[in-house]
Amino acid sequence: MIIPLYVLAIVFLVLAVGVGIMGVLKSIQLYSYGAAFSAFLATAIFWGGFALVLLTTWSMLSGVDWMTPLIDLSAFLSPSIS
Amino acid sequence: MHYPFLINCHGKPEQPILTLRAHPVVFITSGAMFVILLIVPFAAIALLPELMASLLSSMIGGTAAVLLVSLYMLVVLLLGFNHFFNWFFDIWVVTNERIIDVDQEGVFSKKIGELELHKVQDVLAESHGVLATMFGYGRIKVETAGSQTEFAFDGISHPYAVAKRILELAKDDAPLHNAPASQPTAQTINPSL
Repeated sequence: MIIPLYVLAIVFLVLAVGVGIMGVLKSIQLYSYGAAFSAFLATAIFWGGFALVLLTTWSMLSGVDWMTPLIDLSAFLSPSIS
Repeated sequence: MHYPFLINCHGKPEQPILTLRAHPVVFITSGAMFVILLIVPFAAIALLPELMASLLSSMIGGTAAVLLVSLYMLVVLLLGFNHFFNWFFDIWVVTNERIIDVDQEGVFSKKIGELELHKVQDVLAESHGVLATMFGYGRIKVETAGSQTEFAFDGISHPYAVAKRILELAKDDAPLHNAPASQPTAQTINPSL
């Protein structure tokens, strides 16, 4: 049994989506009491940073073969009976 | 900013008079840690270029390192945003009736405490430290008569002026709550009866 490299990408995406959801909830609450310049600035910095990190990650990982075996668990499996 | 927690008092809507939040310097000094944490990966690349180059050259190690560092950056960004969120929502609203302490702890937890102005007995303002003296912020503590209730807020701008204003508001509000003292009735007793 071989676990491919894209498993790492899936774990990363799940956690990144979690960070994004928390960011959305905080942004909504920041404006629920009315707008303020500092709130706008903090939201812009957060989302700007979030987008920058994701774009940098995307560009750095271009060309990666996601099917590369990450872990080979076949050594732990019983041999097939033929 | 609007305040959904205001009430009607004495037949009139409560008027917010002061909205107090910790001084921005308090937020910046405590938030500097997040900036340092964001710089750490870049510092590691600058200080250990050969190690980073060898790590990034391998397919699995490089991919894992990039994903891990990206996740680290996202989490630090979120923690920094959360730090701002807590600073922004940790406020005191002083109205003509009450002092309302709003304390937002994260997204799903909020605490609102209140103290009626006419119960205020003592307001203490204090400022300690170099930054607090330079930027003019400090701590305010409000105590009530009789009970052990006490409100305290750190890092408020112009603490002495705010303390004075709270005391003035408390004095203005007190007559509206004190029941008129019953006038002693003079009774004369006619000894001849």
